[in-house]
Amino acid sequence: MISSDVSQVRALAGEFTRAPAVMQRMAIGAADRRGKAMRDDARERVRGHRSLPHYPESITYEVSRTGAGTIEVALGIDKGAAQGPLWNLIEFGSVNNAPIPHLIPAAEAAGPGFTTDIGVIAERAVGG
Amino acid sequence: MPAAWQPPSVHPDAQLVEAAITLARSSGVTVYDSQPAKGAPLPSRPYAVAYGGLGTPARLTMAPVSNRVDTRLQFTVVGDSAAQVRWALGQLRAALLDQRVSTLSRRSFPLTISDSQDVRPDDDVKSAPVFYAADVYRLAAVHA
Repeated sequence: MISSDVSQVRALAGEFTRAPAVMQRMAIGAADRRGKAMRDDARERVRGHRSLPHYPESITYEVSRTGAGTIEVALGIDKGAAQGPLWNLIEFGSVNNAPIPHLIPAAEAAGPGFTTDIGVIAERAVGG
Repeated sequence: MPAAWQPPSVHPDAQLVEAAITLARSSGVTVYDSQPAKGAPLPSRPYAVAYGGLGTPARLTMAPVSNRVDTRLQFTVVGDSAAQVRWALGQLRAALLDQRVSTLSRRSFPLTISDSQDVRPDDDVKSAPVFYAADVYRLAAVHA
C-alpha cells in the first residue's frame, strides 16, 4: 500500500483560503501609511508660499473600502479649511499665476510604492 | 542695456523640453515660455503659456546611469471667450498629442495628456472677460 503525507498541501490550501481576508487587513494598514506619505509629500510641494500660509494644512487623504477586494486611497482637499477651495487655482494656475503642481505629482509618485507594498503583503499572506 | 543672458551650453533634458515647446509653436498659437510677454502691447489672445522644468530622471532596469526622463509640460491657454480657448487648445493638441519629440541625445515616447482643466473665466482679471484652460502633457524620453 502506498501512502502519502498531504498535510503540507492542506496547510497551503488553508493559507490560500485565508489569504484574501489577511491581505485585506494588511492592505488597509499599508494604504493608510501610503496615504499619509502622499499627503505629506503634497504639503511639502506647496509649502513656503507667502500667500498660502494655511493651504498646506487643508490637504488631506482618505482610505476607504469601495467594494469587495477594493481599497481606495484618495488625496484631496478639505474644502472647509482655510484656503482649501483654492486648490484648483494652485494646482493649474490661472491667467496671471503659474501653476504649483502638488496634488497630482504626489499621487503619481505614490503609485509604485503602493504596488510594491501589495506584492509584499501577498507574499506574507501566503506563507507568512 | 545689457545683452540678454545666453547659456553657454544647454542640458539635453532642457533641449528636449524646448523642442516640445517649439513643436507647440508649430500649431499657429503664440506660445510663451513660463510667462506671457510683459509690457505694452499686451499679448493678443488667444495665446498659450508653457510651464515645464527638466522633469525627473530615472534608470531603466539594469542601466548603470539615469537614462530616462519624465517631464510634465503644462500649456495654459488664454482667450477672450471659451470658444477661443477651446480652439487654441485643439490646435495645440493637433500639434502635440501622440507626437514624438527628438533631439540629438533624447528620443521621446508619444506625448500624452495626463491632466486637463476645463475652460473657466478668470475673475481676477478686471479689464475684460478673460477665459483660460490647461492641458498637462507627459513628456517621457530615453537617451538616444
